[in-house]
Amino acid sequence: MSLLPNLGRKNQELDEELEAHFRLAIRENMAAGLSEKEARAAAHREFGNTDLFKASTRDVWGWTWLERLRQDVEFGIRMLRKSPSFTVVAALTLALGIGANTAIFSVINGVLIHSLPFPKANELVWIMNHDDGGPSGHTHTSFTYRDFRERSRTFSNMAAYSAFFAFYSYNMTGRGDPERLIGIEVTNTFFPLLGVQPMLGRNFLPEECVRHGRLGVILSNAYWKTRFASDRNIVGQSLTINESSMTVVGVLPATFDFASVFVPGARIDMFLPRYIDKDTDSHGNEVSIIGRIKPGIPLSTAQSELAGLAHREGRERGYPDGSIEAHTQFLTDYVTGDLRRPLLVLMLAVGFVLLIACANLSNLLLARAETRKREMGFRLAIGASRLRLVRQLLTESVLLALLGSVLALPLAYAGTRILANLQHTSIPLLGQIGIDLRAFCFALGLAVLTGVLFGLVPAIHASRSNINEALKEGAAGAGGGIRRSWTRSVLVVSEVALSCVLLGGAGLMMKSLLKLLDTDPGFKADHVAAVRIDPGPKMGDHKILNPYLDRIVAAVRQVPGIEAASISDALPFDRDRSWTFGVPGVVFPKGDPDAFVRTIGPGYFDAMRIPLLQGRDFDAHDQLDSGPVMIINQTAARRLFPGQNPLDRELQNGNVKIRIVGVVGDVKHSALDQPSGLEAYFSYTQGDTESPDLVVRTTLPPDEMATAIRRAIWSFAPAQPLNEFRTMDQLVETASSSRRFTTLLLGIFAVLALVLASVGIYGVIAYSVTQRTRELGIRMALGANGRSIEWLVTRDVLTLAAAGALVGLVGLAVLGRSIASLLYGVTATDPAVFGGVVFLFIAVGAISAYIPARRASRVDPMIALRLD
Amino acid sequence: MPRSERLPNRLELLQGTLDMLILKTLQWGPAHGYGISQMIRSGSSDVLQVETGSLYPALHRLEKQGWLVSEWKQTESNQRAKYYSLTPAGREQLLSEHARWMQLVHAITSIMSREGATI
Repeated sequence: MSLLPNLGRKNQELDEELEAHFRLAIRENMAAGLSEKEARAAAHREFGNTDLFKASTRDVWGWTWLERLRQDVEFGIRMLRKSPSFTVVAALTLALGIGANTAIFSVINGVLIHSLPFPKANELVWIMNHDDGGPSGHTHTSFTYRDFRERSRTFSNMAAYSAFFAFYSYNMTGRGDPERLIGIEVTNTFFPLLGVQPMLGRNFLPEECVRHGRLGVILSNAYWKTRFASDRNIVGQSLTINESSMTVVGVLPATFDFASVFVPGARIDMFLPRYIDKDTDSHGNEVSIIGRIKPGIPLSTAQSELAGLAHREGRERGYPDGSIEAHTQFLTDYVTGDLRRPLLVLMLAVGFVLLIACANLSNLLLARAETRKREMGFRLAIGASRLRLVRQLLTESVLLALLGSVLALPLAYAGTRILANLQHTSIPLLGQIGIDLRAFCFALGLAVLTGVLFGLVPAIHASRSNINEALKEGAAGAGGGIRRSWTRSVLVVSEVALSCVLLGGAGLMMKSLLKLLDTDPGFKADHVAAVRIDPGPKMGDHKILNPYLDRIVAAVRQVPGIEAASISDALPFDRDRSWTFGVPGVVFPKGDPDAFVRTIGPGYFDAMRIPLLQGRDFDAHDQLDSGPVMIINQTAARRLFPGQNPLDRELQNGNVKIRIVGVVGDVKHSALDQPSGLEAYFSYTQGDTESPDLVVRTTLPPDEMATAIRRAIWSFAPAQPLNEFRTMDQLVETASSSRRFTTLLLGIFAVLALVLASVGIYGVIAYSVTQRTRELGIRMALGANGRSIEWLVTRDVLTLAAAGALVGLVGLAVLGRSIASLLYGVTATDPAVFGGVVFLFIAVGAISAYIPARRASRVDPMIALRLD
Repeated sequence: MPRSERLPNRLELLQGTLDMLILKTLQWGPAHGYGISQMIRSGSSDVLQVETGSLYPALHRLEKQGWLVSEWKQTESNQRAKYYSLTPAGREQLLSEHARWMQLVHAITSIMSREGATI
């Protein structure tokens, strides 16, 4: 019965004690000469209200609040069971609201609140070279890494990895189909710095991190699981990679997901030792550096130390000032900084959804309070205090909310599963998302808060019941009173305003996304696929490689369904590589400009549908022994040769002069919302390519072509790995993934808000029509026709909707500024979006009003007047 | 006991005095709730009547404060009843409440008995 067993015993004892008292009194009364019946009656009289003083005795124990809570809960459950349809509707509404909030909170919890999955992650620092120029601008030379590491006094250690790992060739043969692995070279300080212990085997030894050292690899957990079926005996076995034997020395734990932290969306199969010595100094900027700052040292101190070191090093090595820089940022900020604003916007959005749900429930409860008026009046009449009634009603609403949150958890779980497994996304740490204890507590706390929030106003209203009024028979039809209908209107207006803000925000984001998808990337992505055809270092020499590539392209062009085929080693949104080009005889004030460099094959522009504006495409005559030629994009032509014809002019890279033979259209390179830069194309037939892709345009959906393409190539090159098959659409999608993510979720929440708000409007109007039945009846009896009654009701709704929309627009204008940085091609006060939202709400109001208005116009005056 | 006897002469217990009366009653030895109420009534020649509704909350309060302890025992008539007895702390409390009470009575009496001071 009782919540505490001890309390049960105490209750029983009290009963016994009073029973004894009663018996003693009877006995004494009988001794005084009364009959047993009289004695008993006298004792009863003397005793008074047993329950009352039992209660006051229990008060003394100090546990009454618990006892009362138990009563309230039991009573609340009874009430909820008595009106199952109300309970179900309310609990489901809450489940949606709380579920959405918990899911988004889990994302924020996983991405923003949880530190990175490393011990003392707050000491980890991302050390960039230049803080602009994208990921490749962040990279350093190996001598910078060595010098920073040796000279810095503010870092306890540093580690580096090869930043352009995705273009290294690691072809594994001898185990089923040939396979190109994605391997990343890390210094032997890398895992210790992050505090990552291999789950099996060991970290790299110093003798493995030198040139011509022992060849060892450490497998990523995901690759070990999928490729080697979690075989624990893999450590010590050797793999044939690039025709050499490499020993598996370790397997990383599942908790360490390199890609999700450093390169979201990428796949990592294995780690290899990276050596740093004099020979690697000439390789240019190619490593990313992470440091662990010494405890207690502020980042600004470390920043100025490294900036000084970078400057000194540039001087020592004779580089112009500013060539070597150092920009530091906590790793956490580097990884999740860009997501903070969108996620907070989403949290705000789901918060709004929950508020709207609360407003709806408040309205429901207000309506219900009418029907429970007599109950409340009666309880007040027999002596319940107002506070007690409020508490009772709040217990009911919190119970409802808890019920809602129980239903919300599976929803939130499913939601986070979907979010965590999103494909083609470049959102970091998504895999780390799940419903943990913190999210669970959040949901629970939210439920209690929600219960109080939506229950408080109705509870206070209900407890204000006028006892006399309430107890009179047939008090229905008297109307809810001015104050109550005012409260309801305020609730509806705020609901409309909130959903207006949400819809407006979602509308702005949606329009941005549409604008973005509408931007011409400079090529046609549909029906284009790319297959990595990296033959590995055995074909390092282009004298062997180029005929091989020629043969592949020729073979694939024969496959039915292939419209065009060519080669590229730097697809848009994929690879980021730039070189410096100069125009002989011209001095640029800011130094020679950088251009994105792509090595392609003849026919690439045709396959990608990149327009050739001037000159010619590469062709079979451009060979190793013919003079070097290049094609530039429009932006490069304008920038390098303003007002001149660029054809047959020369550009200089290092000591090499290259003749321009064509000009093509601009291609978006790093992101759809970034302007195109300078672009330079070379032909593989004249030089080196690294890890190229075969690019095909197909007439059939490209996915269906994969098998045919593989068969054509494997017919003469059976050792060629062809496991990386991507469509251009996927690449474009990944490039806009975080925007899609935000927009999609915001859109879902906005629709949810709209539905809830229209249900809210409908509920309030339907209720007010029922309440006004008599008034409407009188109006009709006095000659009002159905149409004018309909208008009477509709007018109320439209007033509410318009008022709400107006407030919402003001809110939108204020909040819009905070999402301005997330918008693309749209201002925060886009008139089309604002107008659309207002129109939508007037329409929703009119639709919600339709049924109640129809009902109102059909009120039979005779029946209406006979009510009571 | 006939009803007519009891009602007219009854006095309301002064606020706060019930605790003292209970402690005083228990000075002579353990007693159960009914016994205590009877002792207060007969000790006051039926003037003071303790409501059951006040008695038990008071007993439980005093027990919680550590001035009383209780145990279940048999009465002379061989019934089970809960007997309360004073603890040393309860004895001290009784002394201090008694002293305070006497002071109060003295003060009030000296005002009330002053001749000519009444309006």
